[in-house]
Order: sequence, then C-alpha cells, then structure tokens
Amino acid sequence: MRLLALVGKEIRTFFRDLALVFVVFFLFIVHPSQSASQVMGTLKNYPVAVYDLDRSQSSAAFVQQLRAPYFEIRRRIQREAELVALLERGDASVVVVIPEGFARRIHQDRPATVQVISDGTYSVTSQRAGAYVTAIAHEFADAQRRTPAHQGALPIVDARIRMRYNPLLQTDWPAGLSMLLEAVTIVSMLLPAAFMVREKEQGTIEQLLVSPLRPWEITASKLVPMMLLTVGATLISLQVLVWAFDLPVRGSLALFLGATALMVFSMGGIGLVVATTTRTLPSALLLSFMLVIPILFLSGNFTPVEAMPPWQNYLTLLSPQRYYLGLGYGILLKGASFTSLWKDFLGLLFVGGAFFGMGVHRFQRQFG
Amino acid sequence: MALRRIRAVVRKEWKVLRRDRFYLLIAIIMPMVTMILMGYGITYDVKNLRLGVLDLDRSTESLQFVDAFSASGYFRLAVQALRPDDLDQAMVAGRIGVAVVIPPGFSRALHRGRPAEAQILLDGSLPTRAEIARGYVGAIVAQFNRGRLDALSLRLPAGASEVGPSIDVISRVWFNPTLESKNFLVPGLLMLSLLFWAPALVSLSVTREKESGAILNVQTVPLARWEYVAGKLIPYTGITFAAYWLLVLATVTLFRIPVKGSLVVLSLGALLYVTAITAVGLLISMLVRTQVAALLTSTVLVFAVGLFYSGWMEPVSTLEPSGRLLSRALPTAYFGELSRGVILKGLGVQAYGRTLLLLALYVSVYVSLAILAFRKRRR
Repeated sequence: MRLLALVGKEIRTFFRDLALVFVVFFLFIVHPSQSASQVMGTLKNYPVAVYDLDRSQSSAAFVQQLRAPYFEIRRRIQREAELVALLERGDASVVVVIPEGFARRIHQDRPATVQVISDGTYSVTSQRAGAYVTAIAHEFADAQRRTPAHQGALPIVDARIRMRYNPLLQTDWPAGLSMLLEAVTIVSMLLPAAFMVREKEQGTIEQLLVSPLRPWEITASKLVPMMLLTVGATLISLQVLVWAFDLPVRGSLALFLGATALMVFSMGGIGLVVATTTRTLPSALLLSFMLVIPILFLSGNFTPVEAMPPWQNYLTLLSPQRYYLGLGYGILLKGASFTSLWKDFLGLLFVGGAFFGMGVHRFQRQFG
Repeated sequence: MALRRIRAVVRKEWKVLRRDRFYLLIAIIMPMVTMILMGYGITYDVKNLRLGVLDLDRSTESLQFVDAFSASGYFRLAVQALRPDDLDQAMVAGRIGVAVVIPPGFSRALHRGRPAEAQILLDGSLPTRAEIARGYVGAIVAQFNRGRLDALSLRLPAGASEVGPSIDVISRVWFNPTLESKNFLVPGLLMLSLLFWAPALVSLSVTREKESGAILNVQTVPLARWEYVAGKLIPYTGITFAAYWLLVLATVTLFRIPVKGSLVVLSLGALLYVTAITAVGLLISMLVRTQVAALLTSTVLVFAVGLFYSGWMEPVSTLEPSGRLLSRALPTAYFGELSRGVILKGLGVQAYGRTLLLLALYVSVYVSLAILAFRKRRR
C-alpha cells in the first residue's frame, strides 16, 4: 500500500513536468519513426558526378546504368577544373571518369577502363559507392559480350545468397528499432538517478527516511514507476513502428517486454550508483551522460562487436546495452525463444544485478 | 554600464564553476575524452565476421570453398554445424552472422563440368553488416571461380579462354589515399565532441537557478535580458573554446593528423560554432523548467541531430529531403564540412568564407531567440 502511494507520487511528478513528457515522447515515438524514414547504411540515390571524355554511344549507355535506386547523377562535368572544385567543395563525393577510347576498346574486345575518383574524407560511403560502380561495370561488360559466355556450363560455384529475417535488406525498421532500444537505455538510467538526487538535494529524502518506509521501499519506489513508464512507452512505440513501417514482430512480445523490464532494472541500478556518488543534480546528470555514451558505443550498434579489437570486445561484456540489443533483435526480428537467448538474459541479469547490488549497498550505507 | 553588469554575471558564473570542480573538469576534459574514446573505439573495417558452415558434401572442393572464406581474413569460422537446425539456432542466437551451406553432390557437379550450387545465408537484421558481408561473399566466390577457371583453361589450347570485353575499374581516392577510417573520423569528432557537452552544461546552469529560485534575483535586479544572456554565454563559450584547443592538440599529436589548411579559419569557425551551440543550450534552458528536462532535451538534440543528421558518417547530400532539412537545424553540418575541408583537404578562407558567414548567422539567430525566450516575469 505504502509503496503504491509512492509509485503514484513519482508518476505524478513525471507528468507534471511537461517538457520531460515531451522529451520522452520524442525519444520513444518521434525519433524512432523519423530515423526509420531515413535511409542509412545502404546506398540509395547516392550523388555522383560523371566526366565523360569518350562521348560515345557505349559510354552514354554505361552512364545510363548509374541510376536509381543506387545512384543519382547530379552533375555532368565538362572540364577538369570543375572536377577538382566539385570534390573540394564536397558537392559530390564520387566522380566517375570515362576515358577516351572506351567505346573503341569495347568493340575490339579489349579491356576498357573506367576511373572512380572518390572523396576519401568520407571513406566508408565512398568505398561502398566504388564497390557498386565496379559491380555495375562488370554487369555492363557481361551484357556487351556478343557471344554470351556459357556460364551455365562452366564448372564454377553458383552462390545463392539469401538474406534471412530481412530479405530486401530494408533499413527502416531495424533503424527505428535500434533508436527505440537506445531510448529505453537513456531514459531508464537518467530518470531514476535524477529523481533520487533531486530528493537528496532538496532534503525531501530525509522525510522519506523518517517515514515508516523501509530503505528498500524507497529504492523500489524510484525504480518501479520507471519500469512501468518505460515498458508502457516501449509498447506504444512498437505499435507505431508496426503500424507505420510494418516492423515484423516474429517472437513473443511478452518475452521482449520482460527483457525490457530487466534492462530498466539494470540501468536503474547504474542510476542508483550515480545517485549515491554525486551530491548535486547537475553532477548526477552529467555523470550519467558520461556513462551512457560508452554504454551505447560498446553495444555493437555502431561497430559490430566482432569487428572490435579484443580489449574493447571484452569491455562490451560490461555494457547492458550489448545484451539488450541482442535480445531485442533476436526476439522481435528473428523470432528467437528464451532457450536460444538464455546467454544474453543471463549476461544482462548478471551485469544488471551487479550494478544494482552496488547501488543498493551504497544507498544503505548512506541512509541506513 | 552594460559592460559592468555583464562582467558581474560572468564573475558570478565563474565562481559557481570554481566551486563545483567536477563541473569545470567535465567542461574542459570531457570533449577530449569523448574524442579519444570514439576515435580509437569506432572502426568501420568489418573483419572477423563469425561464419557458420554446414558441409554436407565433405569433399576436397567443398573444403577448398570453405577455406576461401576463412583465408580471406573477413570471416572467422565459428560454428561447424552437422545439422541444418544447428546453423539456424546459431543464427537466431546471434552467434553467427553468415552461414555457408554446401549441399551433397557439390563436388560431383563440378567434376562433371557443371555449376555447383552453394547457399549463403546472411543475417539481415543488421542491414549495414549484412551488406558489407554480401560484398565480401561476392568477391570471395568470384575469386574462387576465377581460380578454378584459370586452372581449367591451362589445360585448354591457348586463346580458348578469351571471353570477350571487360571493364577494369580503377579507383583513386583523394584527400585520404590510404582510406584510413581514423582520418575520416577525427575531423567529424571535432564537431561532435564539442556538441556533446556545451549545450548540456549551460542549460543545466540556468535551470538550476530556476529550480533553486536564484533566478528571481536576476529577474528583480536592473539587468537587461540581453545582458543576462551575454553573461551566461561568455564563460561557457570560453570554456568550450578552451576545450576546442585541447581537441586540436589531440588531433595533431595523438591521432597524428596535421591541419593541412588554415588554422585561423578552423578556429574562427570553431568559435562561431561553439557560440551557436552554447546559445542553443541557453535557448533550451529558457524553454524548460527543470534540470532533468534540460539535460534530456539537449541529449536528444545531440544524439538525434548530431549523430544522425550532421554529415558525420555519411555526407548530408545523401540524406532524404526531410533529413537534409533537419540537418540545418543546428550548425553541425556546416562546421563538420569546414573542419573536414580545412584539416584534410587543406582548404582555407576562399572555400569556406560563405560557411563562416552562415555560422555567424546561426549565432545571431540563436542568441536572439535565447534573449527573446528569456522572460523576466513568469506569465
């Protein structure tokens, strides 16, 4: 009963701060949808400039192939100086140059060349664009063969590539989902830490301490409302993603919500540690912000975990977000069950439990 | 007279900062820590992708084919499955991202001179990784096939391997010929690391006064709105600008990336950028009531606009129109472009004079908005 009253009080405090409600709304609803509608990480309508020195039918036909959905020709360059200026200003980051004699060489069955000049200051995207130009060039050359190569009869390996879980390699719902998982992490750590320190700073925690509440009830009163709030917001956000982007929910929704609750509890534990180590609200908020950045970057969302150097790879084991990401993608997109994900659950429980234990211990010592 | 009042606000702010050392430490050190962590921490060279193999043929050819994957350096054999179910389980649990399935009869088909089928399964739930992996798979298979054909054509009479025209694609990379991702990351991090902290700090300082009621003092004394804004703006811009110099130091010494272009243009750009984002922080703090809301709002701005619409990872020109519009909300994209251009391309005032003017425009807009939003009396 007492706990219920406290939970009610926390939720009322939250909803009284309209700016806060708005930010949480933004983080959970607006941001995932907005980033889902952006295409990231794959090549789409990539702006290229073309410098055609051959001006032949063949070269025009080749340029024709650099088209949607991958490329969009933004400029046709006439002079060398233009090319330099274009790359320097960054108006285009890839220029395709077709040298003179392109058509002649093709008609004589000799290897022709195409040059791709890219802006190395955006190394990732330019590399990707270069790879696509290469693929298009090979396809173009194959099509030019007057006698089609009898590939069907050659003793080679015919690799059939199949994308699991996401056959068209859509980026919209994975992007939206990753933003949602991030929102859970940020909110479930910042809010408990902030509300706890605020009571400490304003002295209202003393009132709670002299009340008949036991210390664990005070701790729970900070975490339970956050759990309700975050799980609720997650559910709404998922509905929006399903409705707007056809996010496939392949696994058990209850299992995912359970994972979310576990995540809130873990991050809340870290928040508790923060709240007990700092005295003022700004320091608490800044400290949580300091911790949230590495937690997010060590999750494998920005750089795949297996691509990290070993020392960093081990550090990811400490980031609750790493497990949560595995669980979220596994359950929702791949339809994984508890039996195949128990390792991630265990990891999250372990890391979360450790932080939580530390937080409670420090809290008891400070106020017990 | 106005100058004296501004100086008083600045001095008061400075005293507050000195009292809470943690705050000052964060303001100066954290941008550099962020840069170092992210500069060393983020790699885009995807290697050692975990590979699962189900070889139902168990022949010399199938072994060679699997070897081609592990020998490439891009894949690391993680699961050797015996049944299709094992492979499925491993992929669902995220233990592998790529799987190769070689059906029985693989080598028999090859011996008979017919194409043999192999199945490659990729985990599409992380599209970026899947696409990179698809590129690697394509290249490895093509190379494997070329090797086989070359070996066969040796046994054919000369000239029989002629298969028609081909196109060689020659790639040349400007400004960063070795394609080191460090060179591409660090100038962007210069923009991002400053953005992470300045708005948060200044918005906390104002909302703290709001929560404690100290703002009432400001509202009752004869201090114009713009004087208060200037008094807040100056110390935080100053501190963040000091942090900028540490970042430049780290760029040159730690990451060994020389500033090829004009340091004056870079620093002028940085000063304008820092002022603009500090003003954004001030504007946020004028609009919200509590510190929690202030910090969350600036966090959202940093993570949403800064990370995804700043042209940090991918050029702004590749964004959708709505994203391009959003990227203009903050001066991040302009400053990112400037820092990239000055540091890596060696450009100067001719190329970025217009950008500097635009940055100045952001400063004036956000400072005016902050002044307008600051109410001396609550309505």
